[in-house]
Amino acid sequence: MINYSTRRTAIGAGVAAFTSAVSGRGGSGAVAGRASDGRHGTQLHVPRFVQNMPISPTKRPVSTGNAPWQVGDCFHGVAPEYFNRATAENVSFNFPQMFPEQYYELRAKEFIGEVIPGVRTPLLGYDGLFPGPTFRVRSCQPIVVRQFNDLFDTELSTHLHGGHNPSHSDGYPNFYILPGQARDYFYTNTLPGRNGIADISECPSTCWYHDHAMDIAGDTCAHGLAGFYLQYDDLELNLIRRNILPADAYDIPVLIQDRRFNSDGTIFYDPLDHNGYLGDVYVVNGKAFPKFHVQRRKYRFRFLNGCNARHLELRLSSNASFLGLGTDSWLYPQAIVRSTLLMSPAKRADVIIDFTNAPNEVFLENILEQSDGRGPDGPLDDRKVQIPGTPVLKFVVEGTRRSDSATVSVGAPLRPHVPIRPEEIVETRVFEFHRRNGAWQINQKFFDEFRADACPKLGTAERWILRNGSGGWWHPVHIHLESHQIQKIDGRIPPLSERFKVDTTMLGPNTEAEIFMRFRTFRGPFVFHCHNIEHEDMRMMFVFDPRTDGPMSNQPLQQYHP
Amino acid sequence: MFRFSRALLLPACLGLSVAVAIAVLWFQGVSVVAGSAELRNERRVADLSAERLTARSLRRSGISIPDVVVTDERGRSLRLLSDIIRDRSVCVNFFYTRCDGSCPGTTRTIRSLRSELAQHFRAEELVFVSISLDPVADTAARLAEYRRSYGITDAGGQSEWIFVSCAESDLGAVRRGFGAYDLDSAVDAERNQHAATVTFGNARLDRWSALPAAMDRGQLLSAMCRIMGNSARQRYVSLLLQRR
Ligand SMILES: [Cu+2]
Repeated sequence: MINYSTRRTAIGAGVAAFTSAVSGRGGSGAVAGRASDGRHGTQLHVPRFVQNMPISPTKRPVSTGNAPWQVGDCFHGVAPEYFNRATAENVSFNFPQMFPEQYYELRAKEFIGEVIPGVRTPLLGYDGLFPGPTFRVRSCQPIVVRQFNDLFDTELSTHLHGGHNPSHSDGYPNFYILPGQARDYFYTNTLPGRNGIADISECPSTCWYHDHAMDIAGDTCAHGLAGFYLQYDDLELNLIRRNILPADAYDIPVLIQDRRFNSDGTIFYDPLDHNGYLGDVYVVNGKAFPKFHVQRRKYRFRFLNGCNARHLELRLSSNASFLGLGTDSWLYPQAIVRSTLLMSPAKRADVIIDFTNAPNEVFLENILEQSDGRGPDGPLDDRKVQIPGTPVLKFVVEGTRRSDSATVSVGAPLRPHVPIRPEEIVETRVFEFHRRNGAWQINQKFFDEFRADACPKLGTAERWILRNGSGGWWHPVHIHLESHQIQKIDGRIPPLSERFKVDTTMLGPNTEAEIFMRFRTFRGPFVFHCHNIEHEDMRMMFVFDPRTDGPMSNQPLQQYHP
Repeated sequence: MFRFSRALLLPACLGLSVAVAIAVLWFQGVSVVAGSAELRNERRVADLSAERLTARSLRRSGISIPDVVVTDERGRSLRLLSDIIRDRSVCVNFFYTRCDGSCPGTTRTIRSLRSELAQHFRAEELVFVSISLDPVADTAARLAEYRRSYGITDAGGQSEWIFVSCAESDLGAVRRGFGAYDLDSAVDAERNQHAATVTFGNARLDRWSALPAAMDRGQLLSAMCRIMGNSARQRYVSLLLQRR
């Protein structure tokens, strides 16, 4: 139950921090302390590896096949391609559909959680959970999610990261769910078409959803608005049925974040510090430094770097390698060996850890050194690491070897990959990121929510050069709508794990990446932006707007649904 | 219809499945209803509550604007938070009177934002503060002269606009509090590379943001209303009625 505080409405909390000794907020369990003492590091005692890592519940639909409410009839009247065609009485999804559509309801709420044992922390969560519930959906089974904003103080815009969805449901930064209102998000779960058939090479596995509201997503994400969205098609289900890939209790989504806490249990977050937020407490699936009990078998972990600005390079304390299954949303053509997992904010690493012969205790540790929000210390290809690193999560390995463990091993075929060929490229665009007088620009321009900077022609592919011209800054560049394929980083072929499909390209200082990308199915607008969320909130962002005529640049948007 | 057929001729589009083709056709039809979205937003505006928001989230921002004593253009000594910002909405920028770089443009931008914001905010709800980066040279008299030279008046129900200098020893903390500094010490020390951003927020509701002063002014105004507003109406009217 949220106890809306009224006693401090006369003055802002940050203001109070400097004018009086503030009594603790957040209820009886809160520790009294200065409001913003988390600035200098978390002062609370944070016990390590005593709490169990929770696994978010699977989100259940409200109904299947029959709409429980008039779709598009909530306050916004969203989804024009849906709104005009589909009503509760006459639902017709003209998308490749093999299964009856499903209807979900999701509510963003404020609640009190317990990230650190015995400490009450005000959080924001989808369905009042941190992380939010995990969607598990089938390809070619469209879903409608009626998302309610039950927060009274902030607008929201949910982005389904790594998916392939219509513009109005993609979380364009000011296509809001206003406070106290709802919006219908239409996730088609469709696949782009290629040569007349659905392109199964593009079927995503590990997507996630998070808030993307303009200017304030750093705050809403830091307080918990993120969850997993896992998609399955026949190919992946067959790998699971044949026990090649682990399933159910052995397929674990893991959201890794860094946070700083004030002594009263609140999360320290300064919305006026635009460099990049760093924490000193690792929070994994919503708990500080948890442990996870595992059997002696292979587990699939979908690691997600949900930090605002911290890059991670994960390693196992046992020196064992990971078996890489995929990067970002997509499985590789075959399983590969990965000794460490380098992940910028927003990136996912889909991996197998084999505990069959593991010691009884194994730590997942972050070996990457990062001193401030700009990015890791050192350049991309010569970054500073420290071994052993900071332990993030402890695996407690129990029991005897399990004979029914999944069978995947190095080289196991997973998802076919269709490289974009140079002959397919119809346009080359260069995007250079700079910092100017304390603000971010791309190609010497500020973000404009009404200007489509790039308008690719639907059904074609383009070459984009992403150039980081900004001193010591790192910028993980995330492009919505589809995967892209990195050709070169600073003229060299990228490491194997980044060589197939990604949705976020890590740009180290003075780095240049050449990527190929297809634009299919949906007209824009969509955004691409730096996923250091503090940079994103300073609008280090550009608009691309695929359309049937093109390619073009600098056009008005085709549609706008605030 | 014709445009779609042309698209089909392109190799990557050749033979798209019928279902996908229908989907693309469908999107072709969308532009027809674009006008109704604007009508819909006008209806939504009518529903926005003008009631002053009072409920506060239990989470908080960790902003650290120091409550230091500053001198304004009238020579008054005022505390930055407790006397000037108080529980109001505020728009802050950094400048210095001798700046011939970004400051003149920023000052003119704020001057027009201030007059436009007067249509959305009552004068006493909002305050503008310009803080000098050159506090030794920028005496009260110089600040007053600067204010006068830009023709800044309090006419027409506009909110207060105060020009201030703080103690030189406090400047670093003030700049850090508003996020107007650079981690690169060479850039930070260079006065004409200073942040050309406006920092704005609602101190009562503890909601803050900062954006470049030179961005599109209509979009900046819309963001300022959204972040600084005291009611749903103040926050979202500009957003919903904004025209591309
Ligand atoms: Cu960045």
